[in-house]
Amino acid sequence: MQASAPQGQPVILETRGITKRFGGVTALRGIDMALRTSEIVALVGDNGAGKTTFVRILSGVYEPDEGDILIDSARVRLDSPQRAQHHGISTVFQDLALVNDRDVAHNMFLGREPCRLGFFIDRPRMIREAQATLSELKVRLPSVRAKVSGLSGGQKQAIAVARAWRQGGRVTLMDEPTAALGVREATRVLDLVVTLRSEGHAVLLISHNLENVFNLADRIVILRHGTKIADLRTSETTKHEVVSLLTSGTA
Amino acid sequence: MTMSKTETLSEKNSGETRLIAAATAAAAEAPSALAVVLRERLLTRQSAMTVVAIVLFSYFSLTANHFFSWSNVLDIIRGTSFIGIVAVAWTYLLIVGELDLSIGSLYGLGTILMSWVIGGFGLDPWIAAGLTLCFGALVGLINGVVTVYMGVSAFVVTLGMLSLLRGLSFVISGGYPIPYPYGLESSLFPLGGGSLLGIPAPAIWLFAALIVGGLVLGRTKFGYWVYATGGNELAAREMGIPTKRIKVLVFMLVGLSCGLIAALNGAWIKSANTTTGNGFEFQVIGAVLVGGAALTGGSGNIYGTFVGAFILGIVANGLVMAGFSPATGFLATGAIIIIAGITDVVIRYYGSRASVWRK
Repeated sequence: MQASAPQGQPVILETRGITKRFGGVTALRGIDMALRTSEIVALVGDNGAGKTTFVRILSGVYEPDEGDILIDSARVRLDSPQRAQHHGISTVFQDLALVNDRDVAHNMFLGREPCRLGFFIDRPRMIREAQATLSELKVRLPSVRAKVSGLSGGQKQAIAVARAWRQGGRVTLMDEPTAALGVREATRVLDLVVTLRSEGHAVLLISHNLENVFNLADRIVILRHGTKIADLRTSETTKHEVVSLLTSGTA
Repeated sequence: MTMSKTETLSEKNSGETRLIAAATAAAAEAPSALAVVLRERLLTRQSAMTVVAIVLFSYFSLTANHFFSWSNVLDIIRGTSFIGIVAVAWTYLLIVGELDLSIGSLYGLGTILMSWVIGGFGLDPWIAAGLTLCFGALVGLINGVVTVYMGVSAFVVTLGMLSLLRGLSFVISGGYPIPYPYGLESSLFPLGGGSLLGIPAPAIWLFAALIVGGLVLGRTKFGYWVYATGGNELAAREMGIPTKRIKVLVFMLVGLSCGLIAALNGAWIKSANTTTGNGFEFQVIGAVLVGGAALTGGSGNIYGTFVGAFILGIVANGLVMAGFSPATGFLATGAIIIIAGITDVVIRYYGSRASVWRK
């Protein structure tokens, strides 16, 4: 079942034996995984399988209890989201990580606001760059000065994706990036995922939508009860096999 | 709307053309975009309260003798200054989603402490003032650490601290006022009791607190992180904002502001009294709430707190000038807080109609 045959591309990010416990519950058990240049890997699994926990570990929100994370074959410690971003990992979180009472421009720069003299917010630059990024991605919004609370679910999702894109890391993690979207908006986000791959990024995509997974992903990794039970090349598997692995743990 | 991979790429390369196209599109949509932003900026609790403040001021100017005079306006400002200084820090605290009920007791204990070290230990007033500031920040640190890192509700921690600090005041003072040594002089005293160009010193401290507090909250990274922490703490943490540290710092800021007014009060009246600061917390919280900061965190600003503090100051003063007993001030303050809360619900209802701009 372990079908990760050498694919010729260099590995950007690798995990070895990642284990995470919350109290007495083991959320992840010994996860080994590699993400290569120009590769989209889909991470699938039932609710509670540990997908979001895994993304949170790679994005620096949680630290693993055991195991190593390697970037370009060097062991790194991702003890904060800033550290993860520094290592080129940007994330679209499942909850989108937006502050509704703040405007679009601030949300695009949340946690890494551009400053003058070290602490005065460079508001013109923030607005300029937010507008440029959004128009580059063809995201239509009333104004980057408008609060996020007044926007639709699709617009909010687009902001979260645009923010990850703007951070410009080599690894992009996307936790259910199209869950709140209509068909048209979802297509736009998925186009963006393909663009990321063609630019040499590695994308880890969490999705419940097997249709999307099979259309986009080069590999499919299946989690079940916190354990990796399969790592398949999309071209060598079928939806039937994946569904039966998801539901019963065997093919 | 499907785009092929090559299209997406070529469009990325012709970003400039598309920026122009986007600008044209934006121009076509300009009225709605402007409307959204204007509605968000203008249809706020702060604007409503500005109108209320002007109406109240005009009303008392017309009906109460001697209300509209420079000396009375100065009285209102002086009476509001200590409340306003702590309210500035308290606004930060409410925005990060926490609260502190111990401010009145901390203010009271600060004044006792300052008199005690000056009268009992003969310390220089400047050093005593420094100690008082440090003590305020230390209590804020304790409130913050127990709340944020130990996970006890701020209501519980600071309610306990309210009683604990007031008790400590009585233990130290034995319940009697502690005057400063007779004839003691210090260059510190004019900072609390002096005036500059006819403006009393406490008022100058208030304006300084409002300006610095407003700038830091509205224009700096720290202020932006304060809003993000209170607006959506999980999101802020996911994006790498150290939300716990921000919260503890804000608790310390509140403690420091109490230490500051305790030192200013000491420098002004050169004595300390165990009842100083009784009920002070209600005035501060009232000012912040009337100013439009939401108890749920994430919103509010210093301008609102400024207006809120002055509405309460104008009413308390105006009622007395109009011949009512000072007790009616409490009644009116309570009514204003409730009415302000109701205004907020109404504004939020109409404000939410901005959602017609959703797509």
